[in-house]
Amino acid sequence: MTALLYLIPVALFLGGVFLLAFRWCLRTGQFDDPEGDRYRILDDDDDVPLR
Amino acid sequence: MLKEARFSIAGMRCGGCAIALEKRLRQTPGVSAARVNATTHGLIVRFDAGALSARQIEAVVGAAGYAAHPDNSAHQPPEHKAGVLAELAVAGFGMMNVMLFSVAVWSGLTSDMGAATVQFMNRAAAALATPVIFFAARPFYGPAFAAITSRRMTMDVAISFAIFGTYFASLIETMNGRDHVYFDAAIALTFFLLVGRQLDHMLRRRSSTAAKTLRTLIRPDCQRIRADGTSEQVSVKALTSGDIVFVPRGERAPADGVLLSGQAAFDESILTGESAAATKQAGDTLFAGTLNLGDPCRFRVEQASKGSSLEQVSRLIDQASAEKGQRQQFADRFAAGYGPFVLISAALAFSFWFFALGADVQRAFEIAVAVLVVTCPCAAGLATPAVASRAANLLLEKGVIVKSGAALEALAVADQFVCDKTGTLSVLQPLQHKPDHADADRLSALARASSHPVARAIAPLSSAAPAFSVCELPGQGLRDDQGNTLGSAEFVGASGAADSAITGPEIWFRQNGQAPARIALSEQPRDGLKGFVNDLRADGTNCLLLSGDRAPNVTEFARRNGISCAEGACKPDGKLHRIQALQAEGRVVAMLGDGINDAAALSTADVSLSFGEASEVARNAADIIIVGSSLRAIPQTRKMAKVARRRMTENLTFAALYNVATVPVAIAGLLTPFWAAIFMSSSSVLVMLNACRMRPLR
Repeated sequence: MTALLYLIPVALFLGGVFLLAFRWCLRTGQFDDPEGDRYRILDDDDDVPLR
Repeated sequence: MLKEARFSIAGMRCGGCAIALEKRLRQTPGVSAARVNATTHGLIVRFDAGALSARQIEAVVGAAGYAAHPDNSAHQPPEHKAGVLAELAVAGFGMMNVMLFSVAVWSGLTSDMGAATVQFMNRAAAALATPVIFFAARPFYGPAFAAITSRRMTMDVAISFAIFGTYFASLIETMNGRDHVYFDAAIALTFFLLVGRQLDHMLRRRSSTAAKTLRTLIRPDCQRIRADGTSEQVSVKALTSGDIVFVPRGERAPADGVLLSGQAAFDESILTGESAAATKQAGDTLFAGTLNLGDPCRFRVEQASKGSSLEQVSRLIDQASAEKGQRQQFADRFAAGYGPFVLISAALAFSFWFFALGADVQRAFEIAVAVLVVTCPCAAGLATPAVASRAANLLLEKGVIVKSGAALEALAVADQFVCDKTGTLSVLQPLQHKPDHADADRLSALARASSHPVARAIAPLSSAAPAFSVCELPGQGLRDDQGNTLGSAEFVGASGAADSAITGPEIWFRQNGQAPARIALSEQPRDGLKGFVNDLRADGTNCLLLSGDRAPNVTEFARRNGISCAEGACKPDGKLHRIQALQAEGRVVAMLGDGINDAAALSTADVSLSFGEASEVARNAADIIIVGSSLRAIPQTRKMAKVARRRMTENLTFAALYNVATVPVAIAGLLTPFWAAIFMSSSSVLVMLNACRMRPLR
């Protein structure tokens, strides 16, 4: 059972990494305009989101 | 100097439009950056204030084929825009990881896990669950706390009790080293309820987007009087202080200002909540957005409508769109009745098991928590509002504003339509030629004082300013202080001269001291009338035409357009009484009208519809407003209302069945808090999904 002592922290750490990644997505507005994003991906010009 | 401006855009069909518009703006000299959000139909532009103005940007957007409207509501805190996504993510993370411990413990209970390991797992779960619960359940316990301190019972209170009851019970168990631990239940409940909350947020965000778009379509404009005495139609935004503005009866004051003409009566209920009209004398202050209930009047603009006043006018339109207020009210009313029942049934379950059956405290508490969780009335509370708001959203996209869910339900069951004729089922062509023996300026001046469709058709004859001191008798006519009258034959005193052999819409004008002159108008059925009548006939809904116009005209119009029942020469209170009589016969009456003379009838009918171009009073009284000018929207709205009603019934049936099925199981002690949480929250998600199942109209 000693494996738990490092497996649990590893599991929490990995989960935490994805949680932070999701937080980053929220903060940088990745979910602000899903409708526009699917057209923008086809657009060659570089554009900067304004918030 | 670099400036930033926000707009909402109307007329975008897809994300491609957004990108095209963006490019066009970036090529405009003076614009340094532009971004169109295709989801919220918002536009942010950074531009050089020296080279360009916000009005010019609007013009560029207009030239590209869209309409822009300044958006002042965009400065919302970011968490409002994102809904509860952050909480949802944390709850999801917590749910999965707490399950890591609890699933291990469950499987350990049947195998060889030692007591020390079980304790370790429970403590680890407690350590993880604590921050997660306090962060993720914020959207519930925050409002619940506010509700309790003001002694109200809301849905949030019942939910918070369920979440924190489970949490603290588990915490005490863990502290005492026992194993009735349900952190997973508490977090799973939070997670699924947040899913429901997020769906709800998305629906609402869509409707506020659509409402903003509509606001660009119903552009408030008003009559400004030029220095030379002529008048012009201008946008409310173009007003500056010192302008003289004319407010016809039944319209709203477009800005704050001072009354110039003698006396007026204004409904200030949007500001004060007081529904009795306030009497105003010359020199008194008028407030933007207040409704003129008395005679037409003029006022001088004091405060140009950049800030508060225009916002007030747009807020009225916001109110009219699918609104939060009503659904929240409904949910809270429901919770106020049902919420105590939830707590009482949990208490009863506890005492039944603890005292009557002699179970130990843990077991009795576990059952009480399961009952508490499972009886939470979320699904029932969401059942109708979710459907109403989805339907209202889909209709908003078609340019139909639904003010309340109740209106949709009434429309679905309405078996009697009552329609006005002039301006509603028919449109009048603007008058081309000046009638003989009439002074075009005087005639036009008098007509400009009113917002009646006939008056509107006459007004463009000349650009004269609206006549002074006019009094308007709804459904009859107008009279100014020089003795000129415009109205029905009877009103101008031409009953003898009227020839009943001549049909077609007409209006009589009598210049002071002269013989009355008949003005013939040409009338056309409104676009989509045929489809509207056929749709009503298809499901056996009666249609009654009630008009203030002369009886022969009305019957002729009805005959030509396939409407079976028609009554002419109706006074405003005649329409009202006719509707009351129909209601007394047990009919559910839908009223379609546009004028000041219809307002009373519109508010009496079970459900009322009006047009975006109708008089302000009629729009105010109507439950459903059609922004476009076609009647085609009505069959679509009816279809949507019927679908919505079916979904509401399904949802309510499901919510009732859910409670009937699960509550006895929970009381019998067959449901662990974890499964109770899963059932309860999935029932509310199911209700939301059933609402989202409604498809847009083609």
